[in-house]
Amino acid sequence: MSTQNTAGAPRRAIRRSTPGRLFGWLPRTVIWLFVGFNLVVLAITLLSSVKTTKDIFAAPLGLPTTWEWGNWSTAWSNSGFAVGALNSLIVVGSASIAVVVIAAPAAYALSRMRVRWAKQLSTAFVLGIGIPPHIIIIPLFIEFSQLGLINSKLGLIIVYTGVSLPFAVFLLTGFMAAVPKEIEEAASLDGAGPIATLVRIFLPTVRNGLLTVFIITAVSLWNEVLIALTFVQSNDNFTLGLSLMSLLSAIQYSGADYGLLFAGVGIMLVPMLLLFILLRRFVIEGMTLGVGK
Amino acid sequence: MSVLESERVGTDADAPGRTARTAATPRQRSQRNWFILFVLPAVLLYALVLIGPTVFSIGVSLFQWNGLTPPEWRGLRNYEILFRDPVFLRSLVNTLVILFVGGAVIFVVGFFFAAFIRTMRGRNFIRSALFFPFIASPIALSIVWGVLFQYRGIVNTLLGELGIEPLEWLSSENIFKMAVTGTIWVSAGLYLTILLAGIDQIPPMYYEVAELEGASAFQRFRYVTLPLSWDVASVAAILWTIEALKLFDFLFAFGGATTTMPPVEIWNSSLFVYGQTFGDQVPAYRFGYASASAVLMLLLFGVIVVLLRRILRREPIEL
Repeated sequence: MSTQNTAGAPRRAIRRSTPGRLFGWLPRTVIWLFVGFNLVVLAITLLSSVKTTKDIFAAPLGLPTTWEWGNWSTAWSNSGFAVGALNSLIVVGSASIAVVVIAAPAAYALSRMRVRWAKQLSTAFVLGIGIPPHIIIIPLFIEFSQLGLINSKLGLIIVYTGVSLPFAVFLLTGFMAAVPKEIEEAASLDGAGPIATLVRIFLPTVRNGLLTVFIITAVSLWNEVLIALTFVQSNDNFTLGLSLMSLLSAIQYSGADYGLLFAGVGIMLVPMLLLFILLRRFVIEGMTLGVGK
Repeated sequence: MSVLESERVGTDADAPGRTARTAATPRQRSQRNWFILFVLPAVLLYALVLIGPTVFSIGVSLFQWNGLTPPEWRGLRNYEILFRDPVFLRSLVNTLVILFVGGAVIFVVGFFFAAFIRTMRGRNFIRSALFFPFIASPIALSIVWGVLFQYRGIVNTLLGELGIEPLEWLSSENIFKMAVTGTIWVSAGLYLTILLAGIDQIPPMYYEVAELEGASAFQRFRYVTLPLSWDVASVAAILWTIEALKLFDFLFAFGGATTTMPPVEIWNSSLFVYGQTFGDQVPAYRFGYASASAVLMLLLFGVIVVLLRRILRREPIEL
């Protein structure tokens, strides 16, 4: 403790005396300007969602002259966002749960069981992270047409689960590999079989990892559009992203109600904003962990 | 690293491996069965949704096919036509511009910011505010970006209050630049956060020693931050390469809609595939041709990833 203090004191003194003063405050100001930009854009978005179109462009930064709360209810009930939100919740929720349930045992086996090919199989999963959706949508569209899984929530859930697996397996393999060997050995001395070891020892130990994978999967699927555009055809199966895109088309054809459009944007953004505020640590650490370690 | 690996492979092949083949102990056999049981669901779904379709796409790329009538053999003709198709060439160039120009900005700014945010007050708040666009829906942000910069949009209104003439942000010469800028805005937070995490792993001692020896902020960056977070940065660069190839949503919503494609000026590889197949009011369904473009881009990016790993690994990491 005391050594740290003595080390800290001269450091501060030296920093003050270096000639690079300009290098000190300028970057900080620039960084705060960028932070400010993001906050202003968020404020404009939320404010515009309760404004008339005229207000939005007359005074973008001002408060609304009349508070148009009706924008949100119109978007919700007339523009199909209620259906979209429900579908997104069902599809994204099911797929994210499926991803965790399927990836966890795989990651456990790949990181903990001494079997030939485990390493090669792990590498194969990592390579899957690099496969872009646009190379798989054509064959999947044909494959799923024959299976009758086009324009069905089940079909979308299957594709979403599949495309999310590689990253989930990759992340969870890291979490599982970090579990101390002693814990595992104690379990096998107690005579626990592989399922008991996984369920009673590993899953509780890496529960933060499971939650992280769930959140990351849910966030990226909540925002996904390309696969949904290809696989969903009727309005009653629209996900929230598709509801927003069709509101955007409607507005381009029928004269612009930008207040309504911003309300739609708000419905799409606010859940992520709340999630981010509540679970920021899991989101940020989860998304950087795979790379950072 | 590679020595360790080869050592492990060596022992594997020597002792347990060879005996396992001829006479596996019951324990090893049951271990193998459990392993298969645990990985099977993931492997099956992975094969069904990702590997199978990718292989199938390579096959489809050799045919002319609309998905309804029987496919017609074309060999490599689809690939030849791609190189004479101005729309594809435009999409190819755009994809590479996003990858290299966008990437350069993201990493230069990311490193610069991360190096300063490390010691700034309110760093968690700063990090969150810059990170948030990355998890927000790209189409929602793209719509906001469009309304900000359209001719009678919010930015021009604000400029007008300062007495500045409205600018043509989204004219056909500018729209791609604005799309790239928007993409950077949306993505940069992730890479900044990754770089910051990498820099945080550097023991503070190194900075203290550097400062005691009178190193300037730039020298500290050049001789401490950069070399010691190089590994993290190089993995992040690969991640960016992958994401740049996958990019679709932000560009698609930037001037497009459910049934219309955005202007060709901002197409990238994934928009090209979508535009040649399901996109637009009258879908083209050119499955073979679109598959050829997707396969070509995947190959190109595979090569880029391999090259990047080579180039980035060469840099010495020892201090």
